[in-house]
Amino acid sequence: MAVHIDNTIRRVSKPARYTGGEWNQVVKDHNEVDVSFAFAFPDLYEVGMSNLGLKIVYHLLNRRKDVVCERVFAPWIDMEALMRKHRIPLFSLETRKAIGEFDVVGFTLQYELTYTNIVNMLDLAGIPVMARDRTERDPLIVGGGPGALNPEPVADMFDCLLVGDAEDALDEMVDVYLDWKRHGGRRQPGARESLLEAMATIEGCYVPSLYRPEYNPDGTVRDVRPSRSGVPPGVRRRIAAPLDLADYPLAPPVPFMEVVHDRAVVELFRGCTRGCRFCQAGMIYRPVRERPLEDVVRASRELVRNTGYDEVSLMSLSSTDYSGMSGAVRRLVGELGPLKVNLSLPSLRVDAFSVGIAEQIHSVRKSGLTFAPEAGTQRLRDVINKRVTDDDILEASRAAFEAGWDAIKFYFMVGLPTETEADLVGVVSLIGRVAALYGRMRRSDGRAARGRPKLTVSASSFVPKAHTPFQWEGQATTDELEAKQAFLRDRLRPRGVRLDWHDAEMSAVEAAIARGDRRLTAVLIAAWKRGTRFDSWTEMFEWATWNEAFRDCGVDPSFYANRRRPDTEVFPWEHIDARVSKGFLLRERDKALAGITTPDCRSGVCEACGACG
Amino acid sequence: MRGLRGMRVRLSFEKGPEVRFISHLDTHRTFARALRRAGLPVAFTRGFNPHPKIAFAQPLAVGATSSSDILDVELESRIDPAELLRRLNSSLPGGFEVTGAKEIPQDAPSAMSEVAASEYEARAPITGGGDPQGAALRLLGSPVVIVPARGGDDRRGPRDIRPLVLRLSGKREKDAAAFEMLLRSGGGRSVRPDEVLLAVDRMGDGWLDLDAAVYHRRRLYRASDSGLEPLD
Repeated sequence: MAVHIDNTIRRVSKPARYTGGEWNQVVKDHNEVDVSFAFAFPDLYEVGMSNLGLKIVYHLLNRRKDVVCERVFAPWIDMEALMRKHRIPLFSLETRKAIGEFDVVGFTLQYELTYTNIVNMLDLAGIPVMARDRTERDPLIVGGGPGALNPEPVADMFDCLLVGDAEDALDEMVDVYLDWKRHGGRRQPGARESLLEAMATIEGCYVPSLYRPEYNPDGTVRDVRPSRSGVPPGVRRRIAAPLDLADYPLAPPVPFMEVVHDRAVVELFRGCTRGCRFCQAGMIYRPVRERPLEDVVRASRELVRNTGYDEVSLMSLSSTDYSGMSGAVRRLVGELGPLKVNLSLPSLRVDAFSVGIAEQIHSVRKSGLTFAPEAGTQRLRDVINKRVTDDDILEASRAAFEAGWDAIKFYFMVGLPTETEADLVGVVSLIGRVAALYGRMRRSDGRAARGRPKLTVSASSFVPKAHTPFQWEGQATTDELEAKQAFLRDRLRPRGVRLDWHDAEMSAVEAAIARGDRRLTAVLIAAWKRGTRFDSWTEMFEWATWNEAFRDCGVDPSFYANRRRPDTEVFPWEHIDARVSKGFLLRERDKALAGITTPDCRSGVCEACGACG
Repeated sequence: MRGLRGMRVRLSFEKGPEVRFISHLDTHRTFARALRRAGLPVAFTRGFNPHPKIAFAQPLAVGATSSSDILDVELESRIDPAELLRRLNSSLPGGFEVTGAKEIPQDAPSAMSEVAASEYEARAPITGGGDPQGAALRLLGSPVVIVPARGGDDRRGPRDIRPLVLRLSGKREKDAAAFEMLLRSGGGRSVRPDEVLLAVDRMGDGWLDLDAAVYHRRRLYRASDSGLEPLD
């Protein structure tokens, strides 16, 4: 039954968020397929439709004749209020089918501060939030994405979670589900158990209800172990290799409304070889798997033809690292230029080479360049293994100014392990040198000497994440983080440098959840009950409410966020094997504290992290 | 790129209920992308940030449908308008359909500058008692009809819309009031159908459920010697 919304929706902001009908959306007759899957993105349409994972899963599922995959996003608060008032259940975009009527609902775990939206969406769908309260009549609730690498804070809400790449595993999960459904699983009380046991045999598929955490008297985790025999002791992350273009979405839905990343996306490679020690993505997507240039060119061409976008973005964690990048860019510019299609690169390395690449690409627009030195001194950059020197930064800035850019944004982090005031002073003096460089160049050009470049410093707060060398580290307190932000603000503003920062309190909640265990689920639900939603949106985030929720549940957020964990402590995610060994992470942590860098894997030196083995 | 090789085409298109919540800006983007998907030789502006030379006659309010909106497209090379219509339709999402395409002279005025009037249908549930045709006649008979400013970016303040309502009729259809109206639009002096409905509602002391009103644009008109003629 389709949900009727027309009279409700006209009163909300941006109704196109909820009406679907976009070019390339896939509509199938639910009577003609065996499994219906709702892909649920726990944030707004314009965020979700910018996510590559959504497009990949939509493609992988809908290319099967026996499966239909439809989309649903978190309704903004105005829409939620109307849905609750008129008793409209959460519905899919494609056929406006109630989400509770799907066989499977799959949430993506992109960011900890979207987790209350998962609770809210389940509630709006009329689906019991806790897995143990659901029956064979409810949809199977599955999850995936980077958050699945520490699934424990949401474990009790999910029937199963896929750890790692979806390319092969998703088909296996669907096949298991199909087999179970064909044998009448959805009509047999108690049959869910057998489905979950079968799911648990798939590599990468984690069934939380088959594992039980135990805690030490001091509140730390003793272990998370299978609750019955026959269940594997841990779950290994799935790695798809090599990346096959047949699995890539070359005709994704094209939004009517403007979304955050409103362009065609070609994934150059997955994984990153740089080994920055704070970066979870750099660890959990290892090893690097590049797509061949021919695939990249074909994908760009077909995406433009199938979507009509006027921009193709070459995506990866560090795009200028792509082998033969110069040649690739030349070829793509030659290919797309005549079609009036632009090329863009979201992640630029800090060096003159990258600026040269950017110049080749952005020959038309000089809007602004972004560099991420992350830390202000060589000492701290060595700690975090960001192998970028002051000279690299100055050279990259010089190249950017020479090429005509006068706006540069620098990403830094505050609260990194071992950081002292000297490192913050380092940020200020580095930016000062960049500004001085600009002035000297202007003078030598014979232009007005007083010109100032438009420099922006974005200071995010360090959040320690699971499966990284800094997973043992504590996060600075919100007071400390705010003091650091103020230190930078007071010194950068007078120099005409703009400072953006992340809300320290949001980072604190993010940190508590990121390294949390199953006791966090109660906090998520308590926070949701008290009204939190869309916590990643500054205007929606309520620190006081979160603190009340933590108090409601007797959970101390600093136990998870700020406490430095001893090397011997068992992590809540100890049973999740990210394919990067704990030994490697410990070695990296020790080198970090000693200020010793580790070379890029591309250099040929192997640090035996375990991902390739 | 205007010259002997290129051409200008005036398209009329429908915007159906499936896409009634798509804004004017989104509609613009949708046509630009559909033209690219269709591989049509659209002309682009010069400069650092080229964009396709397409121009709509008049924005349509979010929530409204239309049976004959107008879009001018400039092309770099010549193409049979019927062929253009066919290819564009096969590249447009459901709810949008091009119903006519004809070449216009290179120096023809833009559709936007030509629009003089728009014809609408509006329908709203009746909450109390009321006579649609009576209300319409009362409005037409009033020398002055003031509607309030809409707030937001509307800086005009209350204004008299009576001279802008060229025709208005109403009838009852079950529990709804249905109106047909011809309204002045374009050239900075225009009135929107929801403003007219608000005025009609006030003629009868709030007897319409304006929140549930639906609007449909039938046609756009240009001025002609004899009065008005369809723009398409």
